[in-house]
This record gives sequence, structure tokens and C-alpha cells, in this order.
Amino acid sequence: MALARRFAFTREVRTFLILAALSLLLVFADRTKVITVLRRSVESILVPVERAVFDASPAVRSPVDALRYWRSGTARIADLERQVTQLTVDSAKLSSLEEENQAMRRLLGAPLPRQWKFIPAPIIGRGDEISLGVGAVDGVEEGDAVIWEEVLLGTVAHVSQRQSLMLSVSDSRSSIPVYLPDSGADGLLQGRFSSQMLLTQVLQSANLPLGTVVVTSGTFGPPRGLVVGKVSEILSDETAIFQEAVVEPTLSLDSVSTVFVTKL
Amino acid sequence: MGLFVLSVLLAILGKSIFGYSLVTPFVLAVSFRSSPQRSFLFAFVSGLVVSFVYGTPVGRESLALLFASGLIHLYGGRFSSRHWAFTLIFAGLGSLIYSLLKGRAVRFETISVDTLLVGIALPLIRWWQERTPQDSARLKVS
Repeated sequence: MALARRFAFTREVRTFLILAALSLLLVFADRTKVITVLRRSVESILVPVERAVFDASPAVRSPVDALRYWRSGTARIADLERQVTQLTVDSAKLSSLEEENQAMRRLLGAPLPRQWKFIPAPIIGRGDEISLGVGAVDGVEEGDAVIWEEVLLGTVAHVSQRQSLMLSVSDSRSSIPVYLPDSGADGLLQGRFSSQMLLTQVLQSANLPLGTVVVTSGTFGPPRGLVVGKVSEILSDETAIFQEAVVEPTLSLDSVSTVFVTKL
Repeated sequence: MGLFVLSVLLAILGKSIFGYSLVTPFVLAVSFRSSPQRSFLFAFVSGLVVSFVYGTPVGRESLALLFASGLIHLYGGRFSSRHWAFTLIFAGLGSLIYSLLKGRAVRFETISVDTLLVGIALPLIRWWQERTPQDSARLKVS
């Protein structure tokens, strides 16, 4: 009995170790780009599906609508549903193209250097990191700035073949060198767990009134001249070496569905 | 196969609609209700699914989920796996291990939500298992 139990234990551990070793092997294979073709093929199927689901998500998110639909599920509605589904698909395609077109027009009107390259990127997932429907095959690279008009939204943290992950400026792992155009003072903008950011390392002598616009300095990371947010609260006192302030983002990520990956 | 399809669906829904990974709590819940080998395999496959859906490095998610599942089976031999308190504590610890190995920021709210979702998923999995015979033998007649 004891032997049987011991054997069972060994078999479980063996399974665990084999799968763990296989996982490590896959990590290595992914880093050495051995499975690039596989990833590209799988993502070419998955990304359009994810985008379609994301476009349909506002309707699914509303539990009241879902409940109403469930309660009135008659045969007539089921028949109408088929027609509506087709129209919704057509409409989603049109609105997606229209949004991209509008975003392109806004971008053309924004005062950004002409030599910059912009890659339109649809948002296909939200969470800790924002998923963008463009990847290495579209020319996206890690560290690229993600913007909307002249507003910096974040930087590309990870690039896959047909999708990428954006680290929002308010993410706790984000750290961006900035300056204040009004006073010319430099500082460092760090993300917090909430949707706010913390402006640090601003000299005490610098003028830092509420509402001051914070712009990227381009010392490292994103290029110079992109708006990040506005000062909403001063935290530090006059005895401290540096001033600290809370910065609110200029633009909420929830309000945009297409952004641009910027390349210098 | 059914679990695989479900994990693909959960990964896509979690990413594109809820903005929260639903696969992690589901894998943890399955680990509580399944044999070690079955749940290790499910954790590994689910990790691959998450990697492809989210575009993250392949293998890392699998490893993180595998260790989270391993912790649950490690504790299962020492404590009563049916007791709700231990279930919730180890669901939280499983989520913590997953976060640490994945390299994402450890947040109390993420662990709490994962634990809550495990609590919701467990009765559903139990109901599903009661509907489908687990120890049945297949008789092939030629």
C-alpha cells in the first residue's frame, strides 16, 4: 500500500517535472524565435477574433441588456437576432474603419514632427496592460511610444508577431522623464496603482502651480514634446529638496479605440 | 478537450471584455477538484493558451500556472482540501505564486478577485463533475 502510494506520488512529481521542463524549453524556443512561425499563424487567427469580441464588448458588458434579452427570448426575437447579427457585423466593420479614419485625421492635425512614423493600432484588450492589434510584422518594437494626437498614452512593453502589450503611463512600472514647459524644470513621472501618476525630482525653485501641463523631455524613453498630463495636487512641503505632485492623465484610455505606435 | 475549449473562450473573454484574466482562477479551481496529473496538464495547456491569446512569452504562463496548481496539490495531502477556509487561503496563495512567477505586480485586489472567482467556479465545476461520470469505463464493441 505504502509502495503504491509512493509510486503514485513519484508519477505525479514526474509529470510535474516533465511539464515544467517543457515550459522552460518553450521559453527558450520563444526567445530564440524558433516558434515565430507557429505564433504568427496562431495569432493571425486569434487577433481578428479578439478584435471582433472587443468591438462587441460594450453590448455584452451591460448586464441589464443581457437580462432583458434573456427574459424576452421569444422565437420572433431569435429570428430577428440573426438579421441583427449580420447588420452588427457590417456596422462594426464600418465603425472600426471610421474610427481609424477619424483618428488618422486628428493625428494629421496634431503638431508633431513630420519625420515620425505612425502605425495605427486598434485596442483589442484592456487590463493591467493594454493589448494592441499590431506586432512585429507591422514594425512595432519594444519601447516605442503609443500616442493619441499629441498625448502620450504609454510605451510598448512586449511585442509578439501580430499583437503587442502597452504599458500605460499610469502603470506602477512606468517611469518617464518629463519637463514643465511653463517653468522649464525637469522631473520624473512615475506611475501609481491608480490612474494617477507621481511627478518627482522637480527642484524646489521651480514654479509648480496646479494645472501645469507635463510634457515628455526625451532624455530617455518616449520622444520629447508629448503631453502626458496635468498637475492636480501638490504633495511636498517647502522643506523638502524636491517637489512632488500628483498628475492626472490628459486622456482616459477608455475613450479611445484606435491609437498610434510612434517611431522616430 | 472541453476544458481546453473553455480555457480558450475564457482567455479571449477575459482579455477583450472583462480586462481580467479568467484563466488563472479557473485553473486553480480545476486543481482543487481534479487529480494532480490532470490538473498539471490542464495548467500547462491553459498557460500556452494564455500566452498565445495575450501575446506574452510562451512557456512562462505555463510554468506559473503549473507551480500554482502544484501548490494546491502539495497542500491537498496535508490539509482537508474540502474545507472552505483552506480552499480560500490556498487559492489566494496560488494566485500570489502565479503573479510572482509571471513577473507582474502583486496586488491585493488581484489576489482577492482571483480567490473570489475560485469560490464561484468551484461549485460550478463540482456540478459539472457530478453530471459527468469520472470513473466510467469505455466498452468498445466491434
